Order: sequence, then C-alpha cells, then structure tokens
Amino acid sequence: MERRRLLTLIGGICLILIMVVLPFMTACAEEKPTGEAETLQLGYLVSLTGWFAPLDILQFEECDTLCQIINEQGGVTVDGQQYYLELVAEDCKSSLEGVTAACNRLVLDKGLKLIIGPVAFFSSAAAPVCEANQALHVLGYSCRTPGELDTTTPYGFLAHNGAIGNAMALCEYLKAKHPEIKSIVCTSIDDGAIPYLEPVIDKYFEDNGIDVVGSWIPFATDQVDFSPIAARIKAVDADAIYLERGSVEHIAPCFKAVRELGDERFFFTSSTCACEDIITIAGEDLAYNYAANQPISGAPDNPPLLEELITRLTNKYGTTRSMWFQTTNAVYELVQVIQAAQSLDPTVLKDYWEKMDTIETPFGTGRLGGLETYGIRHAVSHPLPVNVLDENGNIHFGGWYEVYVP
Amino acid sequence: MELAVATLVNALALSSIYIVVALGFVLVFGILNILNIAHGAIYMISGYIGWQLVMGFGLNQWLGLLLTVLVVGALGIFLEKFCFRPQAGDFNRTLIVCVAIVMILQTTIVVTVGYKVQSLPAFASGILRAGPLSVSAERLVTFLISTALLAVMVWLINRTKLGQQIQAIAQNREGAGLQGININRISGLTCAMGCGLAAVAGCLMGAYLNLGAFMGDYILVKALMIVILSGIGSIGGIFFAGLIIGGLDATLPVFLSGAISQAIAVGIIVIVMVFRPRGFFGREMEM
Repeated sequence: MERRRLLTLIGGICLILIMVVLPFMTACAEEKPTGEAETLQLGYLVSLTGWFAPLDILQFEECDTLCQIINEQGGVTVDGQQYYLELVAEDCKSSLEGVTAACNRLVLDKGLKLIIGPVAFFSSAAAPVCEANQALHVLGYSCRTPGELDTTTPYGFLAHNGAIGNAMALCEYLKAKHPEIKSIVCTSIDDGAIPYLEPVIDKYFEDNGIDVVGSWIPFATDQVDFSPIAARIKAVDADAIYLERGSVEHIAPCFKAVRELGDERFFFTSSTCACEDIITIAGEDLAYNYAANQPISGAPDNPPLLEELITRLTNKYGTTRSMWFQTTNAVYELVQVIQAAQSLDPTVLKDYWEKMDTIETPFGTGRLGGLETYGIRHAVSHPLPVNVLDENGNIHFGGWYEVYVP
Repeated sequence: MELAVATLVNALALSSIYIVVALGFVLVFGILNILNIAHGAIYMISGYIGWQLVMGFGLNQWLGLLLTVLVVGALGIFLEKFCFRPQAGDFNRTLIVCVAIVMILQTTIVVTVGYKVQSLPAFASGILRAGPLSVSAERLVTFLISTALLAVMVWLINRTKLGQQIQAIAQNREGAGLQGININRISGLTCAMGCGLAAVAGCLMGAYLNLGAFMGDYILVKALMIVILSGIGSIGGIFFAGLIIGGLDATLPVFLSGAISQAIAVGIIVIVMVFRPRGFFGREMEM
C-alpha cells in the first residue's frame, strides 16, 4: 500500500513536470521573432506520400528555404504590419482526390485564402475549391489540362513556365548549341496531359525547324522498368531523344535504359534532373550527351537569390540534388504582389497581379502572358537555365534561355 | 528483330527478379501461414543496406550483396520469433504487425536517406553487342544470378532434409510436429530464407533500376499477382506465373501506353480469380 502511494505520488509529480516543462521547452525551441510581427500562413498543397512525393517534398524543402530567407530579410509588410511567412502543408497523396481533400482542409477547415501549388496536372483538382471560395491559388507548374489554368480559374496564377515554357527553352538550347539536330522522338509521362501538350509543343519545335517523329511515347506514372520504353524509343529514327516531362525517378532510369540498349543519341528533358543524378543512376560509363533544365551553383548570370537558394539547399541537405524551384517561384511572386498591392485580400491581389506586365522571379525577370495558350493572362514566363553532360560525361552550364508563353 | 531481342532479355530479367521475390513471399506464407505484406519493405531495406555497405563503407558490391543477405536473413529470424510467432493464428494482428514493419522501415529510410534517388553500382558493367543487337551486361547478370538462386532453392526444397521438413510443415503443421520436426526452428530458417531471397532481389534491382523508399510497394504487388496466378502451395506455379507477369510488364508497354498495359495485366489477374480462384496450380487458400 505504501509502495503504491509512493509510486502514485512519483507518477503525479512526473506528470505535472511534463505538463509544465514541455510547453516551456516548445516555446523556447521555436525561433519565432518577438515583437509585433504576425504570421502570414500560406496553404501549401504537397504530396507527402505516393509516387509524386519524391519530387514534391524536394520542392517543399526549396520553398521552406525561400521562406526562411524572406523572413530573415524582415518578412512581408502590409499597411505597416509586419508578417513572417509560414507554410501550412497538407498531404495530397499523389492523387486528384487527395488534392481536393487537402485543399478543402486548407481553405474550408483552416480558412486560408492564399494557396501555393500544387504542381503538374494536380492543379485541376484544387481549382474548384479555391475558385468557389475566392482563394488565390498560385500554381508551380501547368500541364494545360482543362481546369488547371483557364477562363474558369480567375483566381489562379501560374508562377512558372510550365510544360510549354520549359519545352520552348530546350528548343532554343538545341537551336543554339545543337543545330545538327533536326528531328526528335518524344516520350512523356502518361498523366492525361499529353493530348493537351503534344499539339502545342510539337508545333513549336516544328516552327523552329525540328521535326517530332511519330506520336509521343507514353509511360505510366509509376513506371519502374523503362526497358520497354527505351526499346520503343530506339526503334524510332530521329536525331535526338526528348523526355518531355517526368520526375527524377522517371528521367534517370529512362536515360539509363536508353543507354543500356546502346542508344547514344543526345537525350534532353524539359523537366529537372540534375546531371549528378544521371551519373548516380546510370553510372559514369553511360552518362553522356544529356541536357536538362537545372540551375547550378556558380553559373554565369545566376541571379543572387537563385545562387543563395542553391547554396543553402546544398549546405543544408548535404548533397547536390535536382532543384525545381517551381513552388518557390509561386511564393516569391506572391510575396511581391502582396508587397506591391499592400493587401492580403485575394481579390485585390488577383486584380493587381493580372494588370502587371513583369514580375521578378528567382530566375530573373518574368513576363505575364498566357492569353493565347491558356485563355487567361495569368502565366509568368521567365528565363531558364540548362545544365549539360557533354559527350565525355563532363558537367557544364548550357546557358540561359529566354522564354515567353503567349 | 532488335526490338524483339531487347524485349525478350527484359522479360527474362524482370521475370527472374519477380520469381525470386515471390518465392520468398510464398515460403513465409506456406510455412508460417502469414500474408507477409512487409515483404516488399524488406526487399526495399535490403537494397539500402547493400547501398550503404557498398557506397558508405566502400565494400565490393558482391561482398556487399553477401553481407546484406546475411543481415537481412538474421532480420528474418528476428521477425519470425518476435513479430510473427506471437501472433500465430490471428490474421488481423499479423496484418497490423506487418503494416507496422512497413511503416517503420519506410520511415527509417525517408528520415535517414531521404527522397533522393539512389542506385547501387552495377554488378556487371558494359554493353554486349552483336551487330545491331545490344544487351546490357547488368541485365544478363541479374537474370543469371536469379536463375541460379532459384535452381538452388528448388534443389534445397526438393532434395534436402531441410526442404522435406519445410514441405512437411507446409502440408500439415501438427503432423510435422508430431513427427519430431522442430517447428519453430524450421519456421525461423524459412523466414530467414524468404528474407534472404528478398535481399538478393533488392540488391539486384537496386543496381538494375534504382532505390526508392517506396520501391517495395511495387514489388509486393507483383509478388501477390504471381501468387494469385500460380496458386497456393505450388512452387512450379511461381515460375510459370512469374514468367507471365514479367513478360507482360516487359512486352505490353512496347505496344501500349503505360497505364493501359498495367490495367491489362491486372485485368488478367481478375479474370483468373473469377474463373479459377485457386490459381493455375494451387490448392484452396486457408487463412
């Protein structure tokens, strides 16, 4: 009995200590700035699980790094009130249903009216929720599928070149550095966007003197073995191979499968896959003749913010990695619009943004456009860098390319 | 011709890996009567253990493969004794334990290694060429290792005392115990063998393709498809079904879009289940 009372007493003291100490520790651990600054919460739609997670989580980390930079520089000030940025993430589960559910939680449950993301075709699932509640949603990427960015999404803005702009940049790169390439065979992820992108992108290449041979070769979103795709690619007679869209988990294995079949043609992608990732997956012997949209540290004409982001990410995560900066674009541009409009009201921000002609991005000055391509002038086009593995497997910078999506 | 040869090599390499994984899965299911859905996660963690041994500690990839098999085999003995045996006979609790194992292993990789794509160095580098035909040495080696391993497993199960004990337990657990067979010891060894097979497959695929925290989900689905097609209790059926599934995965994407080819493969499984629920060669399934 005595022992039981003693144990009960000890347990009670421990419980009280935990209840008192834990909040104190939590408060000390947080590096929230003191003073009168408030927190500006931005809803962030990110796939934390599923096939899209490896790409999306990298982008979330990039975005978080940008928010740290902005907060260190004093955050955002609206009408004299200082705000520090905070990303409120919800898991989209790599599915359209997951995006809708996550968006509902952010907009309806948490009452957030400024939403970042998602990227790719997932945006079509977020738009109805955001539009119905007049929440400003800034996309990191667009595949031009219905409902992503069009006349039904007046509160939607595309902060990045998207599939079409990226393709344009690589086309310009080919014209400048590989004029001998006159035809390409194209492969892309089978996510439902191919019918909306193929006509536009094919036309751009052909208008610039590069034929696209045959139809695009699609691969599944969860494709693991790219040997069959590589076999199909090899069977097509073209000067070069173009992987239009995919994540690192698609691009690197596809590249490896192509090289393992003895196909030595130039391989380029308008998605992002660092040359180092290509070398890691394919091996040094097979890593050559490759180009992708990928910023690298120390490249000529790198904007200071981009350089800072690359440096911080590399230092923080300890390894060179593929860097997308799509949702980073979204946050950076949104912050500028907030600062310029001096408002947090989504409708005010929408009205202000669509009247702008240019806006700064981590990649340089962006231009507003998209009326002809998307039906709404809510898309930002900005310069893009190209990173290259030459014929000897050496990494070097392929240059900056100006893009404008009409 | 070139396309046909490439597809054939791909089909054989892929099928052999699928069969190795499915065999390990079936061993555990047949002996322990456990639907080990953690088998895919064990396959995944094996790849990362091999990666750490080779890339982190600088070991030769063959030595890394051997050590990985030993480590994961020991993990199998641990799992059998402390995770599966206490839950014996209770399907629901076993399922929860397996889910927990999956979450622990996947989260461990996500937290320690992250989402960055990794890959093991090739076990054989270079491309073998014969005129217009090209075959990756890596794929050939994958196929040869898997085939040799399968041959060893078939010999072990059919020709050795241990194999006979395994078969006896699979046929009648109580009866085997009454015959003096140490059920717990054989169960532990079988689980170790099953995990060892997953380890070999994980390392081979880590070099053949790449490593990812969720790569086990894909291979588990393939193993389940093979087991369903072949039927419970049929080792030969595993080979037959593995060749079918591997062949479909290697062939269909050549002619169809990725999503449709996967749908067709699953559709075939559904049709088989409708008309022959016990698979091509199996007996009725008891849970």
